[in-house]
Amino acid sequence: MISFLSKNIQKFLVFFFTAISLILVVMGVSRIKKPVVTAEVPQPAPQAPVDTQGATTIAGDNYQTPWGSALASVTVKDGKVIAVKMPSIPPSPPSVYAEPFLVDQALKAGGANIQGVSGATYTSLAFKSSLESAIAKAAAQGQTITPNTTTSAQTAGAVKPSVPRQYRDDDEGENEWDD
Amino acid sequence: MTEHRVFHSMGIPVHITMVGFSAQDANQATQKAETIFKEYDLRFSRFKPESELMGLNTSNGAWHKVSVDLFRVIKRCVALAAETDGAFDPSVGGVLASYGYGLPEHFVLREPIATYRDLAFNDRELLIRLEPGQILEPACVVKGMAIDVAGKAVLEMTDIKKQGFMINAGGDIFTAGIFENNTPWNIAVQSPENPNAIVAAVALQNRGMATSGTYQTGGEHKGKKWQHLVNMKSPESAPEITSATVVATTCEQADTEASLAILLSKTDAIARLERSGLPYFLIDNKGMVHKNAAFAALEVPIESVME
Repeated sequence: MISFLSKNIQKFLVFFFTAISLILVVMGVSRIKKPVVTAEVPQPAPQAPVDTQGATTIAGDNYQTPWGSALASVTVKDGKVIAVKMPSIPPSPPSVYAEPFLVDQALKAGGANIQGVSGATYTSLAFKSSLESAIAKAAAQGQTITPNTTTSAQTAGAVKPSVPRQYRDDDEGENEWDD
Repeated sequence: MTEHRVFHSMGIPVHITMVGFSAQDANQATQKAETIFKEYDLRFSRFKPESELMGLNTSNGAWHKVSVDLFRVIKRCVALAAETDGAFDPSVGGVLASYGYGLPEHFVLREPIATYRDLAFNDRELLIRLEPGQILEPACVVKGMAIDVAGKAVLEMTDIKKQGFMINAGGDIFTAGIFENNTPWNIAVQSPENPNAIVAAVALQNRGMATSGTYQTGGEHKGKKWQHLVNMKSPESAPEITSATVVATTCEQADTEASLAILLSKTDAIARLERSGLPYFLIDNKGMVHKNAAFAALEVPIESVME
C-alpha cells in the first residue's frame, strides 16, 4: 500500500516538474518574442554535450527578427531541461544610432590616435588624413613634400593620375602637427 | 621610426605606413607593393583598353583564352553570384559602362541583360565565352586580392614581433604586426553621412578590414542617380544597408563580404555575415547600427582615440 502510494507520488512529481519546466520554457520563449529592441546580448555558449538518451527536444515558434528568423528549442530529459538552443538568433547587441564623431580637426591637430580610416571606395578622409599625417611625419623627419589636390573626394569615373608620390629627403621643414 | 609612402594605382591612392623599417626597406617594400598593384590593374582593369579583362570583355560570343588568374577571378565571381542568387553579378560591368563608368565607351546596354548564368567556361583550356553585349566587372574581388598579395610581399620582409605595416588602399585596409610602442593599429570606420567623421574604431592586427558604401562612387545618368554597387536582381531597389564594414583574415574576403552586404537585403546581409562569423558593423538606411559581438570585441571607444 505504502509502496503503491510512493510510486504514485514519484510519478506525480515527475509529471509535475516536467509540466513546470515546460511552462517556464514556454514563458521564456514567449517573452523573447516581444519587441526586437530588447533582443538580449550574446547568448551563452552551447552547453557541453550531455547524455541525450531518452531526451525530448521541443521546438518553439519560429519568428522573425531583423537579423533573420529565430527558432528556439529545449531538450527535456526526466523532467529537466538539459539543453536550450537558440540556433538562429544572431548575437547582435541592440541597435544604436550611428553617432558620428568629427575627426578631421583632431587628425589635423595630431590629437587623434588613428592610423587609418576604412571607408567607401574613394574617401577624402582616408586619403586626406593619412596623407596629411604622412606629410606631417615626413616633415617632422626633416623632409618636404608638396601635396597636390587632396581637398575633396572626387566622384570616381575619372581615373586618378598614376603618379607615385614618394617622400624624398630634402631640407628642413617646419611642422606643427607632430604627434 | 615610422615611414609613410603613397602611390596611385587602380584609380585610388595607396598609402603604406611602416613601423620599424629603415627608409631604404620602406622604399623597397613600397616598390614591391606598387609593382603588384600595377600588375593587377593591368590584368583586371575595366578602365584600361589594354588590360586582359578588356580583351575578354570585347570577345563576346566567341570562346576566349584567359590566364589562370583571370579564369579564377571570374569563376570566383560566378560562385558569389550563385550564392547570392544573382544579387551580385559580375555582368554589372555592362550596367556601369552604360552609365559611362569605365569602358567600353558609349556602351548601350542590351535588354534583357545577360547574367552570370549565360557565361560558358571550358575549365581544361581556360576558355570563357561571354554573351553578346555582356561586360564583366570583377573589381569587388580584385582590389582586395591586390592588397593581400602586396601585403604578403611586404610581410616577407617584416618581423611582425618588432615591426609592422598597414596598407590602406582607398579605404580598404590590411594591417600586419605592430604599430608604434607595440600597440595594435587603430582603424576607424568612416561615417556614411560625413566624410570628416567616424562612427566606430577598432584595434586591428594581422587582419584586413573593408568598408563598402553607396555613398561614394556614383553619379547621374540621364537624370537618374546611380551608384557602383548594383543589385542585378532588382537594379532599381535602394539598398537597405548604406555602409558595411567587415573584418577578415584577408582583404579579399573583407571587401567581398562588405560589398555583398550592400547588395543584399538587410535580413539576408546579416544572415550571411552571421554564418561567416566575421566581425561586422553595418549602418542601415535609418542610421541604425547592426554589429556582432566579434566586432564589439575589437572596438576601442572613440573617445579614447580622439585625445
